[in-house]
Amino acid sequence: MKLPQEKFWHTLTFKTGLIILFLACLVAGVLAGELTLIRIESATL
Amino acid sequence: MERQESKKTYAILRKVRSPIVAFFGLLLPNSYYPVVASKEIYDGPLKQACFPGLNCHACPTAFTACPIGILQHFSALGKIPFALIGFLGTIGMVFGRSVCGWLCPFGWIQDQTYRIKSRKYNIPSFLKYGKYVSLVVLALLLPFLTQDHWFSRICPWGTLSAGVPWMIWNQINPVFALPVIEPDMVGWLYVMKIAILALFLVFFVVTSRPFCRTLCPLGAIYSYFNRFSLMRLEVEGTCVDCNLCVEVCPVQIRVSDDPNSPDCIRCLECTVCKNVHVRWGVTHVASARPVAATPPES
Repeated sequence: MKLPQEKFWHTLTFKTGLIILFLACLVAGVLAGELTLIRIESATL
Repeated sequence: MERQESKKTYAILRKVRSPIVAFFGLLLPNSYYPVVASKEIYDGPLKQACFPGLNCHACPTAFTACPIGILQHFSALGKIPFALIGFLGTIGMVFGRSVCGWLCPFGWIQDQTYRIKSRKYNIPSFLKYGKYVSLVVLALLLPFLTQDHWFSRICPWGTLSAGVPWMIWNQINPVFALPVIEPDMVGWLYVMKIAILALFLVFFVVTSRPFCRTLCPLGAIYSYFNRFSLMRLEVEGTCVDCNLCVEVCPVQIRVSDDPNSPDCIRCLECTVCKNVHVRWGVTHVASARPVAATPPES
């Protein structure tokens, strides 16, 4: 579905913004050492 | 011409979907066979990574972590799992709920069991909200309040892939020189888990994907992204209400009405209709009421 011009930039900003936000979350979590916590939990029965 | 080509691609994708899930969703992430000799679950670097689908990390042969197990763990610790949110969010933003249709091993098992010939039933539509309750209450709230993993206690996939194998195998843990599951651990909780698994196995035969639609917290997370994901379904043309899309859809969505429904698992079975297409893009939104489709080409 083609979007009207006024919604085009809104949608573009919204989606790219969310993707950047999630990628930033991923990087922040990795840098904060969350992978170690994940490993400790998942490697324990 | 372009449409004919894409329809051929969809037909190939529909055929290879089941083998893809079986290999990449079930076999590959559960292929730590050295456990037979070591008697210990894998604890190498891959256990730092979450599998995108529901795959119990307590399974004897599991290589990766379960996202819902990790979500509960962080809730119990009172921490926000940024890496997990980023991981699932990025996948969701790109593919929507495709993981449920293309990678989830438990989804694959449900698809296979549903092939068993029996009388089939629909699931009441209000039950689809159960997965959101499961996410909020069992995977977030109760673990936070009680420091216990409540969803894991009832998860039928965890029972099938970890609880039952460990119980049958019951290997001696080399660290503690004791059975992995001691006899006194098989109490009412274990019996309840087995009962829930048995109940779901019956449901799998008579209804299509009941766990995904009613209880899966991971499906609940991914479902939020179907409306915004870069991958989306579009219906082009004029609908003649042939109901083909509903008949082939494993989660019984009327695709012509809502092609990007939160319940859609992006299995692409509905692309059997010549006017249902996959579209990719950052600058598109899911149409609320699309132009509908015509019957399939004979």
